[in-house]
Amino acid sequence: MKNEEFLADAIGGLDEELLFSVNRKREMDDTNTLVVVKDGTETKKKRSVRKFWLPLAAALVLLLGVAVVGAATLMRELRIGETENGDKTVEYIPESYATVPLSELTGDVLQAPTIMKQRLLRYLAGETLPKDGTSGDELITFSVEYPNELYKPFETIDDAEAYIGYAGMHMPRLNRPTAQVGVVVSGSNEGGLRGATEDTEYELILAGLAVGYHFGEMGNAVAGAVIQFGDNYQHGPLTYMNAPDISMATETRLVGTRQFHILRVSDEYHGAIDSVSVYWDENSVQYTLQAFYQSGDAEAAEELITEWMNAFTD
Amino acid sequence: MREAELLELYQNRDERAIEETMKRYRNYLMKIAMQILGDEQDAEECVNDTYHAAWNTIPQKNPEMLSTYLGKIVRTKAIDRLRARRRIKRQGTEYAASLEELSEVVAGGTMPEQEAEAELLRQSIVRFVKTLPEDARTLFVGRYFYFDSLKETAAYSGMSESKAKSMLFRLRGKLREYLKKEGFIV
Repeated sequence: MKNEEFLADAIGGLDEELLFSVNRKREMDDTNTLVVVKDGTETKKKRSVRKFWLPLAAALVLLLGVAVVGAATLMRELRIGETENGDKTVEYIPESYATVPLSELTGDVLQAPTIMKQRLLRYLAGETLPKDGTSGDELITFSVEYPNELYKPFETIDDAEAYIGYAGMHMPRLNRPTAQVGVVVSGSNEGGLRGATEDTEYELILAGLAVGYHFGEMGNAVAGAVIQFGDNYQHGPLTYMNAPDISMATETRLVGTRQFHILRVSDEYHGAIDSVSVYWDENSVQYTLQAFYQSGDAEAAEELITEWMNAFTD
Repeated sequence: MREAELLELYQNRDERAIEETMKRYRNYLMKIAMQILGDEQDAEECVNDTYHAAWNTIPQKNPEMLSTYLGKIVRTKAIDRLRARRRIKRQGTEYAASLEELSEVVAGGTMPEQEAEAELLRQSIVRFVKTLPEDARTLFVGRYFYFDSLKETAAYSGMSESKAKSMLFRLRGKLREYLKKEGFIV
């Protein structure tokens, strides 16, 4: 074996923790070469890979580290793109890229940057921090590589909204049992482990509220809301997927004064699981409902999205 | 399904673990295998081997992060497959390009062949990577662990291709000096 092969083998033994952060960046990068598909247009393409979905909580992470764009009045739309390796991306373009000033928040989320920094310092002092919420610490999922992210579970949507404390946010309430309610909080990218910790800046850049609903035996549904803070809007929630044979169709539906954007995806390769996603934004909050269902449950899925759209009240 | 739930399936010896792993990680694993092998069929077989290796090694190994654990398995299997077949079908793959770059680091040196020494080298590389600033570490791991192209690595490292190329060049020099200091290259 050649010397460089020995070296490549040695590099292959890098710690998983070192690999994890890089791998996340690799996933985030699959957002380029966007192509706009207008409402009502269908796209269909053969692929050699299977379906892969990022759920909402993971999608929130994609907001970090991507191109910053300025505030402007926009046309709401769904942008369906394709990455170099053939994965599809779907991005919702909101009415405006305006972000929410921190001064408009009243909730405990404002304490998150301080807590994140304290947790990092505890870690650096040699303390073993829990990887889950079993220690009684409500803010969970501490990650060495991303110490500026937190997940906080709640019993109710009311509690979760109070934690954020933004008057312009109002998650639609559905008359269904929830599986899980939680808020993902992200700080600025400067909150890394490397470098002098005294200089580490923690700044709240976004918070996401996700509510999971049980839906059928196979599928699930997640309703989410994303708020961005600070000076710059970064990127909308992204879903990305790939499959050897998927069809995608978009439509808009006017409910009251709101025009919702709907995306339907059929996976002919797997044959059984379809999905529907609905998007809306107001007061700089982006709302999403995403439901996965078996083909036979299409009617129930339709009822779900209709209930969700109707649950927005003026 | 969350990664923790998926790991639980492995722990419980529930065969749905493999099916869920295929759904979630196939594309990610195929990409790594393709960067090394440059052949879809070979890559597919490696990925299938990876599912079985994961099934056979968890829960004994009990990985904290399934994605990176699988990534390491597929990387090893793809390199082994390439070597075992002695096809030297390396030209044109990112693995070949990365190896060529790494050859600069070890030129004139002698790498350890004994397992114990190889483990010391691995530990040394880990220490080296941990000393790197985040952007340099991302570049290094992306290029020499995942064998991503320079263009891709530069993109997710948030820098231009030329800057990435220049930084990688400096990193290789730095690694060479480091390995000399550590006694791996005389």
